[in-house]
Amino acid sequence: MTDDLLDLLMDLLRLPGISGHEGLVAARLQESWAPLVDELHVDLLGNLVATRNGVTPGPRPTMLITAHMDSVGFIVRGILDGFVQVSQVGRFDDRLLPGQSVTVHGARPIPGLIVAPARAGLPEKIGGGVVPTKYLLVDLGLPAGEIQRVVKVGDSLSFDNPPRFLADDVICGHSLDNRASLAALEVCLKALAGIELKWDLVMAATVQEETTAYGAQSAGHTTGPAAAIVVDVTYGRAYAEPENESFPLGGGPTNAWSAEVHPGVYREIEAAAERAGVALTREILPSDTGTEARGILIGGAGIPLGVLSIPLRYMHNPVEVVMLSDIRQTGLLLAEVVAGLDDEFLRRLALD
Amino acid sequence: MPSSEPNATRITEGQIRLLRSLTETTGVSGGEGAVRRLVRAEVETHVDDLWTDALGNLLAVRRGRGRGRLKVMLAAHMDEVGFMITEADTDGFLAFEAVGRIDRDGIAGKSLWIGDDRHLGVIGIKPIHLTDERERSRRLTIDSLRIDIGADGREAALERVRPGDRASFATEFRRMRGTLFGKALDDRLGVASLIELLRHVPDSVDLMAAFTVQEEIGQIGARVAAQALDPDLAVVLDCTPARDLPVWDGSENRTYNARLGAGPAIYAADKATVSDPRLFALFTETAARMGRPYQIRQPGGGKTDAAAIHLANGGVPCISISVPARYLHGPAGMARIADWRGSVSLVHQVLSSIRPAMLKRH
Repeated sequence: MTDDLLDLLMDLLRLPGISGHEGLVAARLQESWAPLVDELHVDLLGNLVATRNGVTPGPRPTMLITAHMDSVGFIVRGILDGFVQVSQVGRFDDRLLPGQSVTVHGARPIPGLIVAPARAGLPEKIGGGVVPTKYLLVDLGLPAGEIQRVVKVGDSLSFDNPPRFLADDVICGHSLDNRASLAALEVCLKALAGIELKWDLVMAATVQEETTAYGAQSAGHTTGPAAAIVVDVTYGRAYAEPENESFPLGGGPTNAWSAEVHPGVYREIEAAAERAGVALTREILPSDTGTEARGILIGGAGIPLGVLSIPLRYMHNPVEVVMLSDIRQTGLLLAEVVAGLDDEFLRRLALD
Repeated sequence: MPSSEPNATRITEGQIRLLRSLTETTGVSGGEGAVRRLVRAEVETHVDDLWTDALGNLLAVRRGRGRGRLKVMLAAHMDEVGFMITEADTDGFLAFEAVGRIDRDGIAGKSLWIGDDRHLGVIGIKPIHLTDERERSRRLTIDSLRIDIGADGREAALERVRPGDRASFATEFRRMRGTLFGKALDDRLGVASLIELLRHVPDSVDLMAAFTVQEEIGQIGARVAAQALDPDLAVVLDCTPARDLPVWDGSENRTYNARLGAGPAIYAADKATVSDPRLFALFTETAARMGRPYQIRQPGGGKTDAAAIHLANGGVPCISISVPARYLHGPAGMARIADWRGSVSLVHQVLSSIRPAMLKRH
């Protein structure tokens, strides 16, 4: 059953969808989620909001689960002699960019290559150092005149490397941050199919996390949840990450312990993991979680929330790496939390 | 076998497909076998003799007819710059080294094909969130990078990949109308040109084709190929960097080496070889007469197989003709079909018109 997540995930990893341009991702999700929920719409900012109604009569509390749809990318800053100049949307290490293939979303999608000019064509102050994005160019292999016609300042660019498997259960691609989490949300919805819920469940696939996290803020505001869980990715352990800040692939999701996280929600997630037999690791994030949690937290009278993260190697590289089992485990854990929501839940969260 | 003009008006779809297969094959210096097998299948029905020598060069002779034929060697190297796996660490990540002068700024964030079974690996780097500006201001060195093949530990890694395996960028070939993107255009473009020329050799010459090995690590194959073939003259078919990008402040780019779209690049001299002046005159005059674009590659740096060939035996008059291409020695280069076509028809025209008297001393 949960193997279906691959259809969705592989499709999502082939889509563009940088911050502010998430429409295609929302459309693909809508297709998958429509049969699994009672109501579904795209809000004014572009968040996809999907609702499964609970069965309890009367006003029901809402559990909001969010994952952002947008990914890091570029925007056209200028055109220089038929070459495209770009700015980053989100954050990248400049050292990843030369030689990277991209799609420019101009009058039509145009393949291109990010390149560093020879040192002789760069300002002297760069010397033998790293070439900043500002001086990188995108070569579309088209005549300068045509580029003037089909590309304009403000067009977006996305990585275009297709998803590939490194091993049976290990997938590599761009934008696994945070499309791995969107796939986990789908695993959750499927696991809940046919199960009566006491609460209403709202799944929000949000926009613009990588730039401002305003998407989640608006989703939190309009859906008025009693509690929320944010699903994102965290640092997967590879060869260069400090051990105390990274988590092994295949070890299941992390449960953030942070000022942003409500201790009651944290405990409920822990208890659900225990019931569902999902391995869960505590991730210590002393002040904030670096996710869109902040925007939700400060909505309304304050929203108690938790943050679940899927370990992902090489965050904000075009070759992010995730283990599928971690996605499945995260989805099943979310389903267990939702299935366990009852009248007592909010009382258990009360702080003295 | 009829002597015919290679299709001079366009590069055929078949040639593009062949170039795609050639560029998507891995042939890092010293491991050219897969490329050689491809080339052999393409040329075996068009030549009189075909053999692989002790170093792995694929050599072919196509004899002409009539008297006073020149023995003309055409060389194109089969190898590409790439990587070799040196170790699998306890966590299953692979250390590696460069083979040839790889563009080290183009490595991070790329995918590789490793070994004969072409296992996929990726070179990711630490997330930007875990680095500081100081760290990010330093260029990456190969010894700080590892390849991830999704293996859970050393033993799992060694089941798929072994130290000594070679790796290339996992770049799929792409065509955008008149522009080609791909890895190893240097020198699979030359290899594809040589295959095309072998199919259309004029009868007035004996053509000796050398698909050489290990050019990128010192023109090793070309040396012995020339010694064995003992030609009267040699033409090297290679790729040369087009560094023709705009300068950041709008000033003129005077160190472009070669320009994309300006036609085949004829060498006057590079770091290792002064082109034979008679051949230089013959090629430039022929190109001018043909009325097609050509360019003189800016003399200066760089080397081709000519570096070794012109010193072979008693010395061989030699020249290099390159297809200009951008971003060589990185994950994806870019070339124009028109420049490729121009180089094939120029060399064919010279082969058709060259006579022994042209090599007499002035």
